[in-house]
Amino acid sequence: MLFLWRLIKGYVYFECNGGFVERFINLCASHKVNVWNLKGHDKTISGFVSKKQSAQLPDFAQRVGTELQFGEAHGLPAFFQNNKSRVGLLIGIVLILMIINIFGMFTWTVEINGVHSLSEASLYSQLEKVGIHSGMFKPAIDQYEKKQLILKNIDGIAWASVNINGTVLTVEMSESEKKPKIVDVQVPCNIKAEKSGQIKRIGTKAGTCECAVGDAVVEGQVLISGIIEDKYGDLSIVHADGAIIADTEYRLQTTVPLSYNINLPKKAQYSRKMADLMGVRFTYQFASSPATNYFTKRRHDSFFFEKNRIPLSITTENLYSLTNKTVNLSQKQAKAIAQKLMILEKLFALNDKEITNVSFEYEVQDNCMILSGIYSCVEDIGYSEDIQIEENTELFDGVPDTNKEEQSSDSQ
Amino acid sequence: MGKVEKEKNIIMPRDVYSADAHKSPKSKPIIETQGNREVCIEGLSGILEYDERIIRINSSGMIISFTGRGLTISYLTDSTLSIKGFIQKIEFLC
Repeated sequence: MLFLWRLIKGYVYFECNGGFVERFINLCASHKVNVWNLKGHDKTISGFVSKKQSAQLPDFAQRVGTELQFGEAHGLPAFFQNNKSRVGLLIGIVLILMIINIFGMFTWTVEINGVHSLSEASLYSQLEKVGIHSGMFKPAIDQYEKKQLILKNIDGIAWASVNINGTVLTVEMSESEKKPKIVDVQVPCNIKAEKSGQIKRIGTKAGTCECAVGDAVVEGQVLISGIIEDKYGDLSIVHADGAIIADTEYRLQTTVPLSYNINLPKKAQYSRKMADLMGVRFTYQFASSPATNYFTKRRHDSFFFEKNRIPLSITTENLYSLTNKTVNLSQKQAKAIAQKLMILEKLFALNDKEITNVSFEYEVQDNCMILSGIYSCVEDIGYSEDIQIEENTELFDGVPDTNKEEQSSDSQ
Repeated sequence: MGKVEKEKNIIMPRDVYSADAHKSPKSKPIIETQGNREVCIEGLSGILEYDERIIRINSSGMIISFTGRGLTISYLTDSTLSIKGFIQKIEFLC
């Protein structure tokens, strides 16, 4: 800092020969003339003094009888003095300072911190929708308003904070915890079969079991009833709970045409390039699109300076013409493709189920290879369904009062 | 036990309770060294001898001599001095 201050103010090298150089130093100290980096040998001292205070040194030198010589001047005043005739250089310096100052008034990059499970790319696009992007004019940013917009418009965010540090706008976020599914055990319900199958194991925790091991059940059948009858014949309704493990069967099917048309890209024919400078986009390489049947591949390149993203990015668009081609597959090739598709199908459909047996059937129909997979699984087929009760139901009090019903029918 | 006695028991550096202590003519100089490469003296009244091998300074009631190699005065004010270089010996001549 001191060095910077000296550089701005300007300083001069000096040298004293002979006489009482120690007294010269003492005079400097007593008159508050700051000298630094003093080096002395054989009645000679040299050092630096600020340009402003250097005018006092000849007087001190005369008083102590030493020979004073000034050397090269350093610092900004000397630089300007030396380059007085180079107007272009000075204009360039002024322009650079102006550019730095103007660019410093905008945000260069947006950084997101504190997010783990949400996609950053998605968050950046959502932030852009709420008006947070690179190239924002810093004095116009209302951090509180932006924070409120983030909380209002972006799902899964519990807390957010918008901070500006230099030219970097940092969005600190905290993800909200997902609510666990709360099962209300006070609500009466039945356990029904989600899928047809054969019962293998029963584990009833609450309610009356309406099936036995080995029974074949159909979809929607009541497995554990929420209505309990005690030894006196009184009925009460409870929240049925339990696990019904059954053997089930799934039939998955994939179809691969033996002959089909496909659009294949040729080599890149057209290329467009766009630059994004602090949010301002401009195209610097133009290309007209092919008339029809083409697709675009876009590539986005950002630039970094020592881990800091600079506010310049280049987007390259390559336009590929497509040619239509007919592909004919042999049955062997079609089978291989169908098997791969079947693996994907199985991953999506039977991911959480225990598979005990599998068999495949191949069939060619309408110029298509059809692969059918029959999967035998073991799974809990029970799902709870609430029992709808009307307000006047008196099941909780035991058996409905038949006298009351008779009275009401008489009155009618 | 009086109040004065209580105050005497407090041990703290002089520059803490009196920032301008070294400016007093009777006060002793404060010398702070960083290894044998730098020394800072507060409360000096003048330089008696200056060479790259020896620097002698005048302080209240004593002369302090610094002997070494390549000694330079990195900064100097009316009462403060900083010496840099390879200091081999510090002597107090009372």
